[in-house]
Amino acid sequence: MTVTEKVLHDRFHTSLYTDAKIFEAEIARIFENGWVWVAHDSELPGNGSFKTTVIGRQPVIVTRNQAGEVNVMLNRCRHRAAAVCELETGKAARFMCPYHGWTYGLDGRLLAVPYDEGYGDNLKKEDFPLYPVRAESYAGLWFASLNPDVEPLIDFLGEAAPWIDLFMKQSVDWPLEVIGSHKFEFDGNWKVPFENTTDGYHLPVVHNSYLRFMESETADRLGQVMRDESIYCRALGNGHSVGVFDTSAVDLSAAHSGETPSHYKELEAELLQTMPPDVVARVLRGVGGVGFNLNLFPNIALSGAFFRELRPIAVDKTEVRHVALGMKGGPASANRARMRIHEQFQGPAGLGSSDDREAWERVARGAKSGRDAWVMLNRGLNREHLIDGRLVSHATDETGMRELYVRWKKVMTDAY
Amino acid sequence: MLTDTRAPSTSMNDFDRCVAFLMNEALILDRQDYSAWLSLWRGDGLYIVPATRDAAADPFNSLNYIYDDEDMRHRRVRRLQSGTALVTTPSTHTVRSLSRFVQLNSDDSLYHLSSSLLLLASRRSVQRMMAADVEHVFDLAGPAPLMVRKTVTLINADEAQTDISFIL
Repeated sequence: MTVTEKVLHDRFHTSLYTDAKIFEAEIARIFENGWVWVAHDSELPGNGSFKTTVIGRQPVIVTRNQAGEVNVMLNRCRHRAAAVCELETGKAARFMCPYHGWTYGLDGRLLAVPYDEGYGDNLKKEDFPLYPVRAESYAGLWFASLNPDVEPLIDFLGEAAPWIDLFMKQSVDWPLEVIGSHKFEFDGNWKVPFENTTDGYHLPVVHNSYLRFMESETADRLGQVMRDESIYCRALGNGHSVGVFDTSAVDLSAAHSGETPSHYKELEAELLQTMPPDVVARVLRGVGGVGFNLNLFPNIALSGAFFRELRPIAVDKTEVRHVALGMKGGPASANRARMRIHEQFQGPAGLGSSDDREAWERVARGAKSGRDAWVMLNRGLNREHLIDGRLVSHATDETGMRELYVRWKKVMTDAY
Repeated sequence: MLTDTRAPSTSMNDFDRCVAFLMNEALILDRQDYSAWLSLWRGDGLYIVPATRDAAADPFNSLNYIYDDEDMRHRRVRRLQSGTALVTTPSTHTVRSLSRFVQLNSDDSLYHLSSSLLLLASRRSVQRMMAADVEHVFDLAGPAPLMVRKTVTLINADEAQTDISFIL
């Protein structure tokens, strides 16, 4: 069965979740040949700061060099391949390989080779920088590609770009800042949480216990999804999509006449002691995040108030990071409120994510049965329609997932 | 800063009381008797599992896996007991071993006890081990010790977790 035969417009073959050969082809074609998200600007807060991460499964270093430029490089010494940086984040003046001491600048240039008389003319330092990786940014989001001929980032983001701009409004007049991360693994395929990001249909089922035991804006929002006719999912092209779960919180800078929710009253009182009411109103509007989840193919979602990063490890193992966001230099009490909201739902101990994680593992377990069975993607086909050239349906429909698999099919065709 | 436990201690009774408390709490949690666990707290108590080892120094201003005040503890327990949370079907069985009890110096009137936690969790035929540094802070003014804070710092707090759906 070819790739074309495995992905139909309303279903795909179970092997997309379970076949290690398909996974290897995804790593090569999707993660190593296209754009993947690697960092947010705030994770590189000054010259000399760095972050290590992966493109697919290849370790890379993201640095802000002494000139303030961002560089992405493979995290391997040009000599004998040892990783030159083991810390996840930090500040450094240079990277010295721990094996034989080759030393590189933050821009990747090979600065020093110990006892280089052993090379004579055989080693020209300028020929052995850390392997550079192409990197471009949009609105503070840094993406990288191992394919030097990949299309410009802005073309790849396309119609997703204006939604990125809308997402960034939640930090009001301060820059958005990464303020922590919940990391967790599950035994299952990376596409399952990708699909989940715009899956409104699971909310009242998987998160039933959260909705019953929490009182929050998130719970209110999630509890309404099956009844709210105004919410929608929109395909954005190139595998991207957006699920809008609260139309009143799409543009947080738009006029808003809503009451302050009761669970923000204490925070509101605290903020009003030091800030004018109009700014307080905007901060409170942003604390719960935007009313949509923007899914960017293949590894990052801007989801309400946080980033969801996907790191594929194997066909049946994925690391997920739920990255908490705050306002850099903004009111500490509001940033703390954002952390407390994140802790309630997100991460391995959160009252929401832990159930998502379990559901995704159930998918992986179930997908081991039915060797010739199909995974269905047909919800909403009966009510999906074109608006401005893109498919739109209800937020509990599978339009976003279908967009993922249109892209998947395009990239993976002829892969095996 | 640690107390030199070799020196004669005037608060040995307090030490014994608190260690006995920890053992009882461990039994309660392994039996999943979460309602009993809720009664071990002072109303303003905080149950904290930091999301990084560094965050343990200032969990209030850091992102944690768990930062539960009384209200959140009750919600967490009601959810665990509801039978509707996916993570509890099936639930995780635990056996934990506590050790390395050391009283910590403090400049408040509360009793600070450090301990080590080794926990085996079993769920759906998979066993895993978790290890943590734990600090309990007790109010000993009443007839029974009450927890004012319990901070469980997993030794791999900075790394990816699987699930922390039970109470550590």
